[in-house]
Amino acid sequence: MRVTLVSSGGFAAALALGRPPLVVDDGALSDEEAAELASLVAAARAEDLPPDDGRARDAMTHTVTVADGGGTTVLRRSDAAMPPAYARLLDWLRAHPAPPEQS
Amino acid sequence: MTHRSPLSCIIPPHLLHRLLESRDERVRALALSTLLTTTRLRGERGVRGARAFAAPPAQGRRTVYDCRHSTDLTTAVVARTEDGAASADPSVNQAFDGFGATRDYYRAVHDRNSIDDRGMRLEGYVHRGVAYQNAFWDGQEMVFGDGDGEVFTDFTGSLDVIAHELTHGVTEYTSGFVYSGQPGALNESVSDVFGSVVEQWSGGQTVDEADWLIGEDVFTPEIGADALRSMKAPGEAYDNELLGKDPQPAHMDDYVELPDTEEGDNGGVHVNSGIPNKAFHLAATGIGGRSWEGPAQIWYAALRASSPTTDFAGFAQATWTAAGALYGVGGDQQQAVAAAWAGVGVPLPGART
Repeated sequence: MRVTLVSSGGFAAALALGRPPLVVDDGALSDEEAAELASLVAAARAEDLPPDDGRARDAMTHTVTVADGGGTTVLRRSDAAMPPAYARLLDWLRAHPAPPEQS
Repeated sequence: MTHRSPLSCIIPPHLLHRLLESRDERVRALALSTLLTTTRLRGERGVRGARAFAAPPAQGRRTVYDCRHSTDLTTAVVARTEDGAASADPSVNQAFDGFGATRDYYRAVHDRNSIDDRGMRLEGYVHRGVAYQNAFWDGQEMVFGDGDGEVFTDFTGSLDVIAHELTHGVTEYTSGFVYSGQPGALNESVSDVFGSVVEQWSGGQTVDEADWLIGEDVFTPEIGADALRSMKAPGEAYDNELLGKDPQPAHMDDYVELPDTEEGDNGGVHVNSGIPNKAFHLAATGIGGRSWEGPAQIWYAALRASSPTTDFAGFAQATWTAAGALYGVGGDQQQAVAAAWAGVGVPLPGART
């Protein structure tokens, strides 16, 4: 399983423009970490989304793309409507970054 | 009771605009008031429904909550209230004080009663998430991160950041600029303008003493950046290996076309805001003195007279009209405003510099 995270927007949005995505490949993880990532992704996929009225300003938007044997899933959430499992997934991904992709 | 100008129902807008050029100061003032009232009513239509269910007027009373590093605001605990004692947590007190300075500015300088001009409560949430590198306005309240301690520090420590975010609320209740393209860049710029002006007002600074920086306190000292944005010199706030180069333009010739997507910053709303930011800096320094006494009055009147889709040229025209109505057609203030927009390449038909 390969997971990429792109975060955009925010008070410092200009800094995020053109930044490479954060990438985590479970082939580079320990078995325990890979299982943890799979569990976090499954929880984020399953949870209900809180309402988002679109009125937020300077909130960041995060796009997590999960590619595995079952295809590709895109999970997109705003800081202003952040469900808990997705927040845990973001924290975990940021703590386990792989080197950025070469373009 | 709602006070309405007697002009409001009998004179069409194009005639009101002509009356703004009257030599009679009372006529100009009445025409401007009428225009502002009608445009404000139009702009506030979208939020009026929500008001019916809003909390009763509270004169901008403040409450700060501690998220305790959760992203779920519903689990936050009250950390300080308007009448409560100071907290032992500096982040709580900094957010509380920043709310107070911004609320007091709008009341003292623009006679505005909190964000919605109806005493809306000011609520803030500190310590959101783990090492969260941002601060935002969620449409009802303000949320602060602690920063990661390596690049960003605690966002409660920056008054211009707090005033910037609360001004997003003011904009929502006035012009309602859509968050895309040029209106979106104006939305961001107006927040930068009043973020800077609130800081200047709080510190008693003249336009020559002000630093004209936005977010100068959000970076750790090791980063080697002046700030996130510079209103005096857009594009020159930072330039180093870690952060890259500040992408803000200072002139329409350098306007940055970006996709109207989240990844494209909604058409570069945080990028192209450099152009109207620079226009305000030029107007303020052209007029001189204290920014909140003339320039901010003009920009605030233009904000109230704008609509959700007003673009740079439309906003420039609104500032020029407001400068003439408030300080005299052809006066120093109006000439400074015209020169400011000319300086950033935004056309201002009818203006003579």
